Amino acid sequence: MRKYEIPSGLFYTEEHEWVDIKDNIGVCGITDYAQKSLSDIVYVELPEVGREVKKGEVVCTVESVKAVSDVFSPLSGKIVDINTRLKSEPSLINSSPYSEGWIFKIQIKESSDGLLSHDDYKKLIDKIESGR
Amino acid sequence: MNEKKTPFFEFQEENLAHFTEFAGWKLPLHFGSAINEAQKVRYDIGFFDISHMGRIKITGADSINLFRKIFTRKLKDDSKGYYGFLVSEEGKVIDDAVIFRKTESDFIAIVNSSRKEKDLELFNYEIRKNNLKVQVEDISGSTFFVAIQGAKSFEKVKTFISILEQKGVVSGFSEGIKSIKRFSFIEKDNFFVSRTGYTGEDGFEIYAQNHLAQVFWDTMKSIEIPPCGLAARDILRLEAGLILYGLDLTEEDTVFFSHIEKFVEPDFERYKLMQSIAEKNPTYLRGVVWDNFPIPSHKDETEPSGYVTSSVFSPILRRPISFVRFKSQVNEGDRVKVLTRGKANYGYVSKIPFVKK
Repeated sequence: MRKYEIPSGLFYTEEHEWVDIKDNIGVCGITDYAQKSLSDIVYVELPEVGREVKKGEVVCTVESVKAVSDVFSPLSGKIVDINTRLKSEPSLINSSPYSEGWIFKIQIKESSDGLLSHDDYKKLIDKIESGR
Repeated sequence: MNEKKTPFFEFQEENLAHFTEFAGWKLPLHFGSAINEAQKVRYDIGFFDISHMGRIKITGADSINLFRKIFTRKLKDDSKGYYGFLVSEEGKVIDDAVIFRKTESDFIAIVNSSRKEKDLELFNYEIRKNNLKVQVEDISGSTFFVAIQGAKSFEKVKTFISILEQKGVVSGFSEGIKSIKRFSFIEKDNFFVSRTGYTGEDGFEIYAQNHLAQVFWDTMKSIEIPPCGLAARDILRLEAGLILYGLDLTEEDTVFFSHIEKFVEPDFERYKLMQSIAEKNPTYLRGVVWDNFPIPSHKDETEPSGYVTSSVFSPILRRPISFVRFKSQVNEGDRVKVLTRGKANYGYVSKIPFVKK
């Protein structure tokens, strides 16, 4: 079986984004499962700081050698910071999806309803893996 | 969810393959890193499960006459394979294929999985119409097919075959392999080894009966020939300037005015027909190296007028590369603009192959 890191304390989406919520700011990225499925990430198209986004809206894209993947915002709010290191080192998402490979920070406008807990997301991954 | 699986599927799962759907098959996309897999093949070795590709035996006294009608190359020599195109009586390119000639009445066609049914239709149509004495046998289902590719594949494949002989799996191959030349092949009792491939590297393609999948996998593992996925295969074939039927070439496209026209011999029966069709609606397949990301998608429009047929990130050039089908003549070095998801990107018309060894 493939092994995927799913840290506790974070929230997740069904589209394989993660968000770390502290003091009304959510740090967002894509999960270990997402980066392993894509394999080598060669380009990240970052969002603009200041952009207002709705939960579920496409915020940016990540590209592997073959595939383009949309990254959806896990929350509604305003983009307040982006990880500019990803411009020159997109592979940080592969090597460190939950830390150095974070993608954007969002100032949360609405409550974080509808996000998956660690346990929910783990169940989702187990289901995907067993369905192979 | 009803994708076909190859005899290697279980082993690929154990090796943590990430799968993709391709032409109705569930095939490994990568085993962790497509870039590492591609680089491994460029400088060392790797193998691809290409069991999805069609393997068709064509035998009988009129076999050579069938190919004279439908295949763009002259199949002159025994024990040799020829890359070319299968062409209908309307002058359309039905598929690209490698036809291996064992003798004048004994051939093996390797065709694209997505086109196999169309190819079989073409064979059978021409056989009936011309009353040819030819038997067609699709052996794809009873065999698997692997491509062992890479700079070091010659030495490793010699070892591989000699281990299989020691294990009693095959016999009488190792002598022939020692002197096998590019595009030559040896076949006996549905065990086939050719010195061919689609990566731009030296390499071998081998098919064998399904029950040998386990011993193949274990032997390759024991001599460190790692499995590679379709994403790596796509990087390698595009860097080498090799086309993918269905994207870079379809029934509606011409092979003329591009680097693949050399695979149509001027005395091919349907040459003039193909040429007259092409001249009515000329298009120009070229390679483009892009300055930046994003990687253009299939059908993205370009200036000069044309569209992207396939793209990949080239680890050697560190840039996206594409085949583009232009509506007018362009030359090496010309600048090209593409719109990808609303974003402009620029590049230049490149030499083919993109990457020269």
